[in-house]
Amino acid sequence: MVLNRSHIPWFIFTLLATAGAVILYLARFHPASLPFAFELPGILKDAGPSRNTYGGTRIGLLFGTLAFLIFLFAAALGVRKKKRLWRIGRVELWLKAHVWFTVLTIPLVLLHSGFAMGSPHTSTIMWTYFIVMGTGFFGIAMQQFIPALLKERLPREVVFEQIPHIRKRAVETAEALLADCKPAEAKPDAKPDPKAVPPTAADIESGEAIRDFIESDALPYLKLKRGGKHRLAKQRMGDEAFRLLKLGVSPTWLSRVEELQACCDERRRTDLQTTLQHWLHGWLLIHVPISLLLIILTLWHAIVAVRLFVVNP
Amino acid sequence: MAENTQKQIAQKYKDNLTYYKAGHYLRRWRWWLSVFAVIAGLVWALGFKQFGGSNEFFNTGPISSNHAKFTDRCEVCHEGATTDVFSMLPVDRAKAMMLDQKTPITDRLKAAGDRAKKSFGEATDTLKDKDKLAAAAHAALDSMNLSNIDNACLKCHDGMALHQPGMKAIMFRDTVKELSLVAASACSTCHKEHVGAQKIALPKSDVCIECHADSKKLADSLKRAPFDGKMAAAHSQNVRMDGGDLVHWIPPATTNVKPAVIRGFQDGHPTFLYEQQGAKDNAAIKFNHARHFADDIPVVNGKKLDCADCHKPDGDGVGIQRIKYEQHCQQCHSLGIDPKLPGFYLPHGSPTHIRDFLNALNDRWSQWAKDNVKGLDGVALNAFVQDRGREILARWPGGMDGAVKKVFFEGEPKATGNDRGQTLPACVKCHDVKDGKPSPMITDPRIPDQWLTRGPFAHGSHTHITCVECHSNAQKSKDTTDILLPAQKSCAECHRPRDYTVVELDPLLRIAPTFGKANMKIAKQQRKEGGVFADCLDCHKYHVPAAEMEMAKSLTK
Repeated sequence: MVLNRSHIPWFIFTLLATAGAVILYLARFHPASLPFAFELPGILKDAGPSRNTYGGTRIGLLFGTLAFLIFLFAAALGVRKKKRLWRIGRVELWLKAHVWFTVLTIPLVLLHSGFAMGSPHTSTIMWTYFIVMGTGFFGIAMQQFIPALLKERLPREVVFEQIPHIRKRAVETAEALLADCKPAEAKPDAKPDPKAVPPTAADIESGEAIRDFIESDALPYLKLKRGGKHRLAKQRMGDEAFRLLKLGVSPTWLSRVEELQACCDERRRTDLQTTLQHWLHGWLLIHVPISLLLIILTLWHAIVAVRLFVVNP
Repeated sequence: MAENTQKQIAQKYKDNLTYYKAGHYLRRWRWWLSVFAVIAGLVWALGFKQFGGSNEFFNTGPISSNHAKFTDRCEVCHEGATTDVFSMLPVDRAKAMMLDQKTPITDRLKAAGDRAKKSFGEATDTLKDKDKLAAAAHAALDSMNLSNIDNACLKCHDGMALHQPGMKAIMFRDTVKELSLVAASACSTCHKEHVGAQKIALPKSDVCIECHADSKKLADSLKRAPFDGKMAAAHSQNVRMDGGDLVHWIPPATTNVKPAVIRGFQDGHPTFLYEQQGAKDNAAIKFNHARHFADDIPVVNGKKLDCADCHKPDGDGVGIQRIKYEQHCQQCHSLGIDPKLPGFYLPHGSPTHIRDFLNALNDRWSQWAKDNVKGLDGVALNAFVQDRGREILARWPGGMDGAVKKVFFEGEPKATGNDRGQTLPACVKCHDVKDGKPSPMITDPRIPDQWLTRGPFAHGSHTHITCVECHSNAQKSKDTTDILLPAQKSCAECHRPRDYTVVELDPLLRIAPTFGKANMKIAKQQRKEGGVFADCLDCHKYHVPAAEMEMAKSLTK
């Protein structure tokens, strides 16, 4: 999701909501620091006297509850993406809300906690929260330039999920070429094809050269799990290797060599695409599970906090 | 394999058109990590206590040394609370349901389903009905008053429920016509726990100011109850409370006084009660301070009279020793009735004793002669006594009545030279004396031992300042009823937050109180810069003293 002008209203909303939360916080805890008079709504005034707690006050509980509801809403994005046909707003809108509402949780969480980490339990939640927010911001940052990079460096981007299949096909192509390069064994009962042109010495030499190249370079490269360190993984080295190969083969084999080169080029591109895709989406491996853990820990915190402080047996 | 057409590109995906069903490994990893995170989170939360997790995990900070013995025993203060989430699940009910062999399993499950349905129905009804929803919300909010923790405090700290105005009202209840009561705030408002292993720190002024700077809060929280104090008076008085020895200065008994809005000792703090209009020192003693600083007052012990000659600090450095005739006055104002007999003094104290002394003058002379004149035989002693008798009769005609008149009301003319200080000033010179039989009556002097009844004042902390810096009117005062104590404004010149706009020295250095000799440089600096502690608790007490606890509790019922 690219941050563009369409996010300005969301940004303003988040800014205003943050300002509102800060005003409520100051009005409740540091009224003297407000440059203007502001009376808290009656429902937000605590019935009893003030205490050594921020999260336990009505304002603090409001901030905490809002933050938790936003966590739940943010998690619902995963469901919304799965159920694309549900008529509950466009996914793009959900994504924007996901981003900006969760940004809003930063002031809410800080004001709820009174800028303190608290117990080991709440510290754990806070660190979990920092990880979730950190990976989220990282993801947004990646989405600002990786798609452009993909477009620029990979004009023939393939379907990401097809990459293993494409690699498999490239290996198959190389193996097929390898099989074709081997000299045909004479079968005792086979009838000679009168139309068949017997291979020339140059063809046989070319086949051997190609076979050597495939066995020593191309096939190992295409079979690699990660091809980054192979010499064919470098564009210039690859081009040079194929140029030399082409120079040493007869014209009959040239098209097959080019086919092999296309496979290696494809492999190189899919490697790059995989790397960029990992940068683009890899953070979700942390963001999503830790977000779910955060929700459970927050719920745990809410239950324990209520049981520790608000219980009236 | 050139890819120039869509068809050629599509060839790459041939035989793999259901790729989306399999899911990509990144997605698979994400799914399984998510499942793991959820399960791990649930196991952690539900099984935390089951696996031996400590309550320390939920401890927001070290317990103070005051409550160190309750570490890891949250339930002592957080009564009824638990960190065991698993125990909140209806496990027992589920277990009982499963073990119930009498009822078919289908019926048991149906009953459980009905219960869940009923609860869900009730919740839905509440959500639909505005009034019910509002009532439920209010009930939830009201339950969040955290009062249980206070109740836990009171289990040990019994009776700590009244605020200082209540304490003042209680301690001086006999002198007031109205008891102003303010129930104490939550304990945790002032006493912050879980902030460090050291002893709980006393609250700073900002905690007090939170209420005292808010007129509405003050008005809302203050309760007034009429009270018939047996010593309440419309004027100020010097009284001994409960027959005790300590004399307090008590302001006029007032009612319905609007509480002051205070932002600090230097900002909004009321003037001291003795500063109010018409306040007097009813000490029933006549003392002219100005006269004692006059130029014609002779030197005492080789130097001119100074404040400290009479006003000496107590051993504990808090107060000033009581003025006693024998210690502070007699050297100049002896009760010598015979200038020729040094040390032959009337007793100071009860009028009856004086009359008895006068009745037995012959014996007193005889005793004086035995003590002071060597080698005096019986004849000479008789002659001495008769001689003194004749002389005093000549000076004090009228027998016993004449003597009483002289001693109590008239006195003797001032002597000069060596006899100075050996002549009799009349009792009435210093005391309120009323004529009476068999002897006149003297009103008991009540010089206040304590003026500031709401808080302590330590003279010992102010020895770097000369007396007149605070008691500026003392040297000019001619009337005993003048109250010569410093105005609150004068105290607030030093006792205020440091004014960094005028600080000359290193602003990080706090001016330390100086308990040594007079040092006007420091005194001047303190006046200019402030910065001498001015926290509310430096002077005021908050809780009712233990001795008054029962009375306090009876008032809050």
